[in-house]
Amino acid sequence: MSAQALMTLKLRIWRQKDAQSAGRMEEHELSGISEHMSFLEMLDFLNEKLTREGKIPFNFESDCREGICGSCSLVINGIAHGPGKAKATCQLHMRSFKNGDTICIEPWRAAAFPVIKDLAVDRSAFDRIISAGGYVSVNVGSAPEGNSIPVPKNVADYAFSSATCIGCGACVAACKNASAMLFVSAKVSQFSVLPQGQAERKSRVQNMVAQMEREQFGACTNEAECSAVCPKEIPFENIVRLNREFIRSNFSPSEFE
Amino acid sequence: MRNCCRFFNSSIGLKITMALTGMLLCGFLLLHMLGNVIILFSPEAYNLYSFKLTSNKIFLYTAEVGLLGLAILHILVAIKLSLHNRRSRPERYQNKKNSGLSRRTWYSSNMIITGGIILYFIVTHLLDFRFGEEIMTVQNSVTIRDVAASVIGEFQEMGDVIFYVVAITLLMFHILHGLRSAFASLGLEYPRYEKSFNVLSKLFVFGVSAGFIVIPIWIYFVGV
Ligand code: HEM
Ligand code: FES
Repeated sequence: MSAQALMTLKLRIWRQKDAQSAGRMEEHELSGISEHMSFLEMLDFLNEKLTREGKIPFNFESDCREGICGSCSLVINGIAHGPGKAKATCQLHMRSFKNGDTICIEPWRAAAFPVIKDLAVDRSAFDRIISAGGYVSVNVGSAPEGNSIPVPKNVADYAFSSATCIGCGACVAACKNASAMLFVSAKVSQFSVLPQGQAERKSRVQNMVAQMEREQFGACTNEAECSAVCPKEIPFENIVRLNREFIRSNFSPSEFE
Repeated sequence: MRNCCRFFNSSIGLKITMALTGMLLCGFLLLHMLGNVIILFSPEAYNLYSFKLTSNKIFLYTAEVGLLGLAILHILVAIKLSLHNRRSRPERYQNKKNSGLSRRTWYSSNMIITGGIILYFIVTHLLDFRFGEEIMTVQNSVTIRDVAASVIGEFQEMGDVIFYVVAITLLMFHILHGLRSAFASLGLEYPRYEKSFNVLSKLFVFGVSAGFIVIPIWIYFVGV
């Protein structure tokens, strides 16, 4: 790679000491950026420079850096996980930007996702929604025979595509109402179509929706901005299914739940 | 009963209330539009239609109370949802863009604004016609209200025509997002029917709006 290919960028990054303090945008110029760097490597690069200069590096989250864990976040130039489709921030590369660009970097913003520091937010609201019902209860013991519960291929595929949700929270970040409907709907759909999910089908949707509301997520305006930024392209159709499951769980009679 | 309250108070239940009231109001819009275009064909027939509609007081008051109830419910829930949604993001983004890949439009994001203007329009509209001056006429030796004269009188001023057309256009944008959204809120937007629902709701929206818009323009430029 030739030396000319290195970029210099103007970065405007959210700086916030902790949940209680007010935050502000801070500007940094950073040169020597290769187009081959991932976005997070670029931030690592900035943080190394800041550390060398005796300044405080920016706090941001990441883990797998290959788009499977859901740890990374960031609203980049106004779009959750930055430009491009079906990718998490860790899969975004600096070749998506040009020399001299200004890049605005903000945390996910939602009442339910308070800022911990700088760009890191507390997403444990999602964990509490999962604890409220995003599971199937099974008796422990040896694993059941794989073919003893037949699942048609198209149903299995549908459940699997919903299950690819990595819980990153981009749906909440992108939604004008900071609604968690896409996340909750993916988790509800994943189980509601499978035979294993039937036993707790009604209580699951009730409890997960109730928890979603306790966490102060907004309501859905059906704009589907969530699906558009989802790194796993979870379709909006799941939200329609969640609405249906919620209606069903309230009005279909059952003696036990 | 307790279950029912909890259901309608949840964020999904509130959206279902919006969808049901919104769809019923859309049904009213269609009937109202169909009734109104009669004036273009015959003002006398229009007066007769209006007379028939209002002479059965039990029917009239039931319909009016029902519509008022739908509108109030729609508006109160709209306010409740809008406040709830604002609270869900207390700190705004410094820089926020649309992905450009979704259903989001300026009108889908500003339903409360288009709705507010529609509300203002509805109030002036009711003051003009429902509670406005009643001109009387004799048709077939019966004295009835000449509501056609009120309508024609209303649309002699360009300013009034423009206000009316703008209001209907905003209403059109409101239900352009609203109707499609209502199918989703009610869990009816099955992937298999998604395209058909979308096309049908667009036809409905453009058809109803065109019907309303033609009336003042026709009266102003052509006359009846
Ligand atoms: C004839 C009059 C009206 C009709 C036919 C109508 C129709 C609709 C429909 C079909 C929806 C979609 C519901 C859904 O997303 O499930 C809707 C949503 C909405 N309406 Fe109306 N509406 C009318 C008047 C109003 C008024 C007067 C207001 C407010 C003052 C209003 C505020 C809203 C808001 C804020 C939403 C969106 C709620 C959300 O998705 O967050 N509407 N309307
Ligand atoms: S760091 Fe794991 S998905 Fe981005």
